[in-house]
Amino acid sequence: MVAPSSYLLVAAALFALGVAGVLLRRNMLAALIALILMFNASALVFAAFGHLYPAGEVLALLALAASAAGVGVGVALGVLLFRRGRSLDTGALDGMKW
Amino acid sequence: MQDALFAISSAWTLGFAALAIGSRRAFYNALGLGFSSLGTAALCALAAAPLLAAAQALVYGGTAGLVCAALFAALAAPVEKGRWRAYGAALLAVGLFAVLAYFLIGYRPVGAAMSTPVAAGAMLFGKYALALYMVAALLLAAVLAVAVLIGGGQSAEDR
Repeated sequence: MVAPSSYLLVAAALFALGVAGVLLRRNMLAALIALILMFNASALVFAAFGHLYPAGEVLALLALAASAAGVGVGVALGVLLFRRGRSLDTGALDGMKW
Repeated sequence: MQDALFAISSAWTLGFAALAIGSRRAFYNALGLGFSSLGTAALCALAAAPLLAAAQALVYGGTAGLVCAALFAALAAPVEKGRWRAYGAALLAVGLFAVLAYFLIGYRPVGAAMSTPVAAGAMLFGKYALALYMVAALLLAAVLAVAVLIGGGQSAEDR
């Protein structure tokens, strides 16, 4: 059996990639994809410790559904922004800047 | 064998995650996400969480596939010419099928405390039913929000 620490290592790398994507990419679609990668990392942690905490799989499923809802709204916002400005560059979104 | 599968799945997941983050083309971003999500599903299956693996593959793998198809149709990406690409793609498909077939046929639950889909479903609709209904309401609200955002944007543009 693979040790849970190995899963944690992979999940940490996946999460770090997601954080880097959110921080570095200015394309909204790429940032959303990076966000999904972070959700994947959290699901992986839940799965890794599923044998210790059986409810982890259920919680991961609920988190998966909630994240899908969030990402769906994010994609809709992206479509809306692209229709208005013909761009998905998050740097150009300064309408609510204070 | 488990260690080898874990190493392959990890490398697959992280490699395609790097593609999803690093590529400048939206199509490759979505493609990387889809394959990375499938790798994550394989890792979940290895961790004896088959229901979560199936959900992961269906939700994110399917979503990324749909996004890829939409981008492919929208951008009308030209078909690459050259025979070696077709042979390479066929080889990749056969190799992937072999790995998946081996993985699925040789799949055995790890440890006695494996969470079966039936047990997870009973837990989901029993102890965690309230959370399930809350998430269902959240998904409904998200669907309505998407409809309002897209529909509202369309009508404002029409005006």
